[in-house]
Amino acid sequence: MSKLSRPYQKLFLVSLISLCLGSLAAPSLAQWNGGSYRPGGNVGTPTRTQSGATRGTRGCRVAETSPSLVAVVPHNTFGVTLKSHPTFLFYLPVMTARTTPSLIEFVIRDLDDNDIYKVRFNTDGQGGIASISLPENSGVKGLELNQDYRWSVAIICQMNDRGRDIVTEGLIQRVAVPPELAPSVLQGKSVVEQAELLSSAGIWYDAVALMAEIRRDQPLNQWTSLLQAVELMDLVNQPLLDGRSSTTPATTPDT
Amino acid sequence: MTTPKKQQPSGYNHYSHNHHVLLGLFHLRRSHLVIIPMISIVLILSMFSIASGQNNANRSRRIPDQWEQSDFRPPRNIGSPRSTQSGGRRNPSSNCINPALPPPTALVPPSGFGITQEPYPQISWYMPPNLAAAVEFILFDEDDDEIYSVQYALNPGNLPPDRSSVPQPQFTSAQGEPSPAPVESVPVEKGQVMSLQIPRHVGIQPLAVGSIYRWEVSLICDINNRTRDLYTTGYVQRLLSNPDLKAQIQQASPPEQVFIYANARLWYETLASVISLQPDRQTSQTSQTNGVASPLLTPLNLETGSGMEDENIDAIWVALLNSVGLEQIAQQTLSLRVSSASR
Repeated sequence: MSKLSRPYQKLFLVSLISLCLGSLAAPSLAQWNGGSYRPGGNVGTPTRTQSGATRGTRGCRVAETSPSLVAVVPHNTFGVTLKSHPTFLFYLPVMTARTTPSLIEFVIRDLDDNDIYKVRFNTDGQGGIASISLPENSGVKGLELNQDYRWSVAIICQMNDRGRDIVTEGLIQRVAVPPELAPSVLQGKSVVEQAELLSSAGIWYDAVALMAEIRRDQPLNQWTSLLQAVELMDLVNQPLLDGRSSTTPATTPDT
Repeated sequence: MTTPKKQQPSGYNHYSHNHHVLLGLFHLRRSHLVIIPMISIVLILSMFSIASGQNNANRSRRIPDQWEQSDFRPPRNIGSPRSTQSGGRRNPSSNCINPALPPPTALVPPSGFGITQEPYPQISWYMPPNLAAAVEFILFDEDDDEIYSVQYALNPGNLPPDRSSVPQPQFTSAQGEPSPAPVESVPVEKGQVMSLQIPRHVGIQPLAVGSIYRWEVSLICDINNRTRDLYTTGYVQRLLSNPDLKAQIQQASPPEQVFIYANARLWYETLASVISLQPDRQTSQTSQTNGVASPLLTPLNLETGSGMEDENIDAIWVALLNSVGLEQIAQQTLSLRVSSASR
């Protein structure tokens, strides 16, 4: 009896402490639950982080001290947007010197596996939070209302052996604008207030994208609490890739 | 990365200073001592400028008649210039566009070569109505290595409403059966201008100053037979940005910016700034973001509504495309030229 109760006591204490800490740091957002939004049909179970080769293999490796490649999404990878051409965030890890430049692939597909938009590009292997949007004036077919889409980011280690890719995935659904986010309601609100409203309405993709934009220019507590709410604490202090690569600090040198 | 020289290429500082004349007028107006003669001068001058301003050609005249000298040679031998006629392969069975309309066409000067000061420029092309499966865009560096590529399904907005459910046209099979996509079924309304900006926030290196990049757009008529692609190509060279020009741009109205860029022969900036004058684009963006449009999320040059009449924008558009010999494309893209995301 006493053998069993001791671990339970510990667990209770730990959870009590973390509950207190959590409520101190982020009173309204201890855990992201995405409101009433749920994925639609049979969407399977994408993985935010793979269990296996998340850190690559020899010749294509994430630096020891860097976080892994990860989609900036809630733990079940599902989130909603109000936009037909939304923005996606993901963390690109620092790669070891030998790996650079890294070839990255971003793809969004509908649930019938039709590619909607696919991008490939080289990076210099510096770590940071990347953001990519479906471009609006390029003829790209936007997301349709109430449809689920799957997106993924891969670091392509060997073009002829895509099984060696380092991969992360997310799910997205475009939903109708709820009354509490109608343009008339948002008019005159600051961007921070807008981001908070989006967040409390459970509009994951638009909230996190807007907060990332704000956080480019200024520290933002809401950014911290939002990432904590989806257990991505190790990304809180990561730089946002801003296109000025020389000034983006490489947080981790080659190890 | 190359270390850029802190020097501008020669023949670079030919900006228009016409707006200084206008600024001067405002100063004169404030004078109290000579108010009556000044008012009359101002009146006369403004009548003069209204008279010429009513003529749209006044604005258009400030787009150079000819973008580049006829004997202009790009900095290096850049393969085939913009191939407007064939749009790449001239394949008669590539009937995913109406053959009466121009094929996909790079919006670049006749040499195929355009200048930018942007580290992540916006690139534009003309796209006829089509029944294609997808579009591919590729940016190549000087070694002809792909550094950025995009492939995407086209917005069904490219098709008339009754065809918008058609997922993908059927084409001649490998056995050579006749194509079930007859030419008459290809929509015949006007084409669109499509644009892509090289993304800034994903870790792509900015274009290296001085290097010449090639870009290519392919209309994938048959995803299983890429020899049926229709493609077009253009070149872009980034020059070191000029602080004087930046200062001028910051003080200029959106239409003025077009002329400043044009007189500096910054092709990609000129094109992007004309496209951003389009009011449709403005509205589509606002409805797009459902009211959460924030200044932080909108590129600066799109923020201010130009407040211009459509005809004036059309006049600038035509003048710009005429200056690079794309008269036919100009006519095809009047008033509905920007691919809108409003659906």
